Amino acid sequence: MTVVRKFKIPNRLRAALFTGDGKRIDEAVADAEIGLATLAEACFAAVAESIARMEGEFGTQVAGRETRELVDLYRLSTSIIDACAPIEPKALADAARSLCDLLDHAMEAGRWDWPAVDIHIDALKLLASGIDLGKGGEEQLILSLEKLRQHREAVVG
Amino acid sequence: MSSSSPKPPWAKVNFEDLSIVVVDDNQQALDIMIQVISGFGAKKISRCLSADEARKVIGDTQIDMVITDAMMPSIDGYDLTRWVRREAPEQNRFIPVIVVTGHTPRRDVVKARDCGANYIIAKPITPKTIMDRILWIAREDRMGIECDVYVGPDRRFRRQGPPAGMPGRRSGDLNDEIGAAVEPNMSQDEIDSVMKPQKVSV
Repeated sequence: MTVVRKFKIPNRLRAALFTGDGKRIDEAVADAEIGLATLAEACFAAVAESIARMEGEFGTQVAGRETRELVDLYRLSTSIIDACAPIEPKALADAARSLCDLLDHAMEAGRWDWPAVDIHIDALKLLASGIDLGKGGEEQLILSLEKLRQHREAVVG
Repeated sequence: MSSSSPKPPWAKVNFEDLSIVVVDDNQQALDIMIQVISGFGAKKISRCLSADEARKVIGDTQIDMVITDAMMPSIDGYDLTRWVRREAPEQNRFIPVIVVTGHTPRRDVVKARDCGANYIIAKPITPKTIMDRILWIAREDRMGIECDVYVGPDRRFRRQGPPAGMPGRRSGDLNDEIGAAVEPNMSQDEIDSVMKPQKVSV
């Protein structure tokens, strides 16, 4: 029979966090946001580099792209999500997440759908291009990616 | 106000004396998280580019919190959390562990909960989300559970919601109902629902 030990965990975090002087919570969050903003330029460059690598290694023009490791494309996509913290538009992260969902499903199902990947890479390029799609345009784009993914999952399996 | 009461935004938090380990194999993601917690006022931050590095730090020093990426080569964030709960020195075995990940399919959220993590946070991170979760952990009085199949904070505990003075959550958050998630990628609130009120399987 499994023996379960249940015990009180001392909350060291609470003891330290609310002891002594410090910052107001709202000021601490505001300071963190200011600090995060200083990384925006570097993060945007990283996003651009990841998209360029996606195109260079998995784009339509790449011969033998089907022989490459799909997990590498997945990692490039998550690296875009990582870097999106301080940058706009937020839809960039949504598009990258949609690509992750697509790849995750494809890797699990063992079936591959390049046109859907190409559309996601194009969407990422568009969102990173600086063209102002407006909030409505961005939402529509993400919704379209989601519909595409659901459709492909239903059709391709 | 008791120590476990929700804190209003004008309450003060002192990160200066907290020893925090941040783990991510992506240098830029590491910079982002460190920038955020430095902004909160944290000074004692250990930067680790791998779970191996983190294990050395956690093995040698008293730590107050670990924030780790989920997807890392060799040892991932889930295995690191499992190691903390089962093999770290006694003083660090039940420290708060927050897992951060870019992609949150339900199976990974459940994995994070079942490896003993306190919370899983979806990237891209925001300072507010990180602060909220740290305050949630600071307010909690979760019991520790140790058995053959699970070591970590009790997965059955009262849902308290966001701290007072921090209305709502991130846009896109959904309701509290477990199992409501139908999207492959879970929103932050769906994640919190999975992490919070489940029963321990023993």
